[in-house]
Amino acid sequence: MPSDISVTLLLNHIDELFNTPDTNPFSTHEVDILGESGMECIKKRVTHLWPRRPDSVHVILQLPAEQITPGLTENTNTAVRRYCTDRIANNRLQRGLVNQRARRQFTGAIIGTLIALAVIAVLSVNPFGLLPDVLRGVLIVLASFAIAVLIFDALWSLVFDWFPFVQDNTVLTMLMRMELAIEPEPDKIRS
Amino acid sequence: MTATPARDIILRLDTIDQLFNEPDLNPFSEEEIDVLGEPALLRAVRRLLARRVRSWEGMRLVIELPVDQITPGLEQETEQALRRYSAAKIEDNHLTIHLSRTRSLIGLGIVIVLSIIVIFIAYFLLTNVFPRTSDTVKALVASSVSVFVWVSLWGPMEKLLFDWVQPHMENNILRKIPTLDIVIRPKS
Repeated sequence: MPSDISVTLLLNHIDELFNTPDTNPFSTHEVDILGESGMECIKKRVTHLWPRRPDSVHVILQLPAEQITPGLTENTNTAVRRYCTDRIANNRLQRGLVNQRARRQFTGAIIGTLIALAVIAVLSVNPFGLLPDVLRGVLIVLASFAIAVLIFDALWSLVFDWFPFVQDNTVLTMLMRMELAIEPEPDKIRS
Repeated sequence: MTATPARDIILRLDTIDQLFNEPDLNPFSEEEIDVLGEPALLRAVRRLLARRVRSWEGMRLVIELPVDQITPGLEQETEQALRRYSAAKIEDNHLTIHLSRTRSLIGLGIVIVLSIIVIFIAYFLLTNVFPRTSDTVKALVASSVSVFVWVSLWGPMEKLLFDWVQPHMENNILRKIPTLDIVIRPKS
């Protein structure tokens, strides 16, 4: 069931929204514990629901008061949209490359299949009567199995390799529309 | 509870950060962590996975540090840090399992539909388009289709059945690590 997602992230600096800090579980900040950028943390929350989509995503970034400048929220919103747009475009590019490779593989599989079919045809006809029936049978079965495996390998790539990109882009599209607010951190809780 | 040295997990570090962060790769060093350049905790988790620990009783996590790196209260801070890290990593592994299962189920659905289509096409061709095909060819087509379906189903089935095992086992170790007695002592 779709739902709202609310995330409150404590950051030491606005850069941590996009850049990965060092892993530091001595800190209580979510981004520091596993050393992930703020966007990665938000993405993980949304990805938990995948393939379902939340109705909306609300994010509050808590920063040291002295780091909050006028216009920071607007700039951060713009940066988030730019980041998501570029990541989506990059994922599409990667997906295109993967699909291209899969199509080439599929073409190769078709050629391999045609060759295997020709071999099966020759073995079935047994024009010179050179091979005993048992050996012919074994070779025919092997060729037919080769066809099945060849086509499967190519299909596997076509059917499955798009998953990570589509999943990532679904989440990034949600993040482009997230409602982002910036507020001063309540008090210093970082150790 | 008496800990025997043989059951200690000993990590020799230059700084406490190396417990969670990988140091620069340095095979010139005699320290294992520098040679491999990986976070000490992840290495310890992998070792524990390989050892298949059955009883955690009496096991200690011994961290050896240079004397100047040992500060008062470091043991408690490290224990809390381990707890936080383990909880976050467990959550992360749960997400990995969830995504793996979801992808496998979707993949399995696609493959089942494809398999049904292939079986239907093969059946249609052999019964309506080429009804006079010899039994040998029919058997050949049937065996090829069955291999294709079997191989196609195996991929997502394997992912669905086995991909969760590794993160699940890692989570079992990560749940235990914060419960270990943590000892920080100077490097010998």
